[in-house]
Amino acid sequence: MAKRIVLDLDYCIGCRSCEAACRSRFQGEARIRYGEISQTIYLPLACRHCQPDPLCAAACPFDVIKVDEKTGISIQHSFHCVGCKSCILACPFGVLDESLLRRVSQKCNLCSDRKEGPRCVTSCASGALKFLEEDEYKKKKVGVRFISRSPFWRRT
Amino acid sequence: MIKESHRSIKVNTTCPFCLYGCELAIVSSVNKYVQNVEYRNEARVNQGRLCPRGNAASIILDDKKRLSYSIFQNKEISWLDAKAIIIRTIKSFDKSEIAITFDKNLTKEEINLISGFVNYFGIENFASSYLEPELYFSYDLENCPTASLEDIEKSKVFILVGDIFAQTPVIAKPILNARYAERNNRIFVIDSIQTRTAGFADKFLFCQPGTEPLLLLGMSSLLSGKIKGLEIETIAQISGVAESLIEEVAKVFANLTPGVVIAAMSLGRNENPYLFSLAGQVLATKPNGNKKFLSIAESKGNFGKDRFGNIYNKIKENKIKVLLNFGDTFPFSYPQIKSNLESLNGLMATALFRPKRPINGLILPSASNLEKTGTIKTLWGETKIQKTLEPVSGSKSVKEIVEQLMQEFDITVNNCPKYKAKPITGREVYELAREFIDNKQQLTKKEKSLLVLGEKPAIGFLNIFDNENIIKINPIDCINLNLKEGEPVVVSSESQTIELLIEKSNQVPQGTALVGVNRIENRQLFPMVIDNVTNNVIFPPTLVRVWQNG
Repeated sequence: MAKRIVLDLDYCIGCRSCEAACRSRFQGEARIRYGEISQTIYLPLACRHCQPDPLCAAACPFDVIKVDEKTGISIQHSFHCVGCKSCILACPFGVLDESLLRRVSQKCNLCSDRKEGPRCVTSCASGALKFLEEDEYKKKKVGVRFISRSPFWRRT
Repeated sequence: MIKESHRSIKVNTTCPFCLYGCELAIVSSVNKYVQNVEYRNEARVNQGRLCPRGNAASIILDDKKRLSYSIFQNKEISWLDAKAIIIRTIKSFDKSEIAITFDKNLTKEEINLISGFVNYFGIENFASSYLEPELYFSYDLENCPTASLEDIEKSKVFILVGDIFAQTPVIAKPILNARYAERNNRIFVIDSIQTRTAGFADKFLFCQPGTEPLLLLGMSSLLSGKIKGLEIETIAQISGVAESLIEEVAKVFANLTPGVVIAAMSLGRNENPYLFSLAGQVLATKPNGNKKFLSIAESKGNFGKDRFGNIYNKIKENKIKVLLNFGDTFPFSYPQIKSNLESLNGLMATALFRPKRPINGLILPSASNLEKTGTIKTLWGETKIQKTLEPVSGSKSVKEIVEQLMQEFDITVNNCPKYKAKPITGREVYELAREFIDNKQQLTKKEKSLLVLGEKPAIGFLNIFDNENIIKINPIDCINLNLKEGEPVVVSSESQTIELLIEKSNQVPQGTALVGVNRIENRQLFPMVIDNVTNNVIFPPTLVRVWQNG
């Protein structure tokens, strides 16, 4: 089962170390974005690697984004990218950055060159980002204390 | 097969950019091309985690703005010529007319070497040129225990003063783990801004700017029996925090053990950093039980023989004619003092980056701490740093520069004096607080003026990831001043006028504005004041006027 980046809101302090780690690796352009929802909620926005059919891949006119069958990660083959921004418009989570680096859209590949997992997760200063298997993250309770502190965020 | 030139080399070292002492590795190719920072999961202090400062390490090593040649009177010169100029200048002035200063990011060996050099010539004007308020944390209170990482991990109650999580994000994990370990554990935050750290507080003491030390001393007074002049009623009135809240926090802090008081300061945030640095230590020593103190800083512990305030006054009076500075960024970090430094007969400084504006003097390219071997101080003790790469072509480490100068004068250094400030007693701190209350004057607010404070988040470090060209203003103030989000505005203080973009923020209380002080242009807003008690330098909060550009 493919591993995914999971955010624990109980620990995220909005320091943007994840963004810095990504930017230092990819020459200034971050593939993880950062959003501030309210005064107390900070949200690093990482690619969800949607399954089974990611919308960014479906929107790409040149089939640059393909899903790896083994890992389930949608990987962009940048060499063929023409910078048409279709994937950016298609992404329902707004994760892909609008600015193009060297006329190529920047998409997270979960640092597939690194055995230890994505850099943003290893670098996360407060330990809020975790890289977990699907079974693990479904069982794991994240952001529990955060929700209990803010009754408006309770959904059950 | 991997080509030999593509093979990468990984060198482990310690992050030199703050005192937390995170361990990291720099990966570079055989032909010295920096590839990236790598994380060391086995490290005790940070377990691989790094803040934006650590992540910027590879960018700093490889930055195009790095200085790689000596500059004299804005022209490129060779190292040999530069050395000849320094020697000629030192020889032609009296020792009382020469000042030697040192910035942060020097190894212990380098400071020892400079101390020896200073001692040989009998130069008395020797001080630290790191002028951030963090330097005040070098003043110790008598018998105040310092917290270790284990103490933080075991602690049940925390009092966090200032934006701890933004300034040193790596400390957040041990603090939050300790908080979540038991239901009754508590985090209390004292600050004048609703920071991200305050978002994690069980109780947030939202006080008037500059009154944080009074709250700490008020709690200490409550726990140790009433102290004259620091009664809780007086403190509550000045700080704007309810008496009942101060009492509640003080009681919980006294009852839960062990506990830690952690304090952080930023330029333009406190009008009395001396009292601030000591107040936390007083609270940590007062209540019965196991309480400790920890200060968060990028650099501290070294003062030199004199204080920079005295040296600066002598420069203005034209008593000092030559200034030699060893370090990374001084004098470019403090534009307030640049005009006075230009009147010197000789100014020599080492620098990591090319100066943005021309400066009258001699600038030597220096090596970063990632490009040298030595011992550095961290919050947890001393640690060794390794040379991850050869210094950028043309640059030399401060050690190499001083050694070459010493060869010319035929000096060898054996005994290096150590300069440490005398510990202060709790009684002296209370006296300081009483004086502070008596002299505390509310800045007379003019119509439509805002009190501007400084923040120093790690993400703004050297403006690599965030260029901090914004001013945060409360939405109500924005309506009153007719300002719109994202709009360019002119911000004018008594000392400088700059241009920034508006960001509406509920973090900032009404009547207050917030700017990032990692950005050198923003620092110019704050006036430079010399403290009468310590002769150090303070950049206090100041009033600004903000209006729409154009």
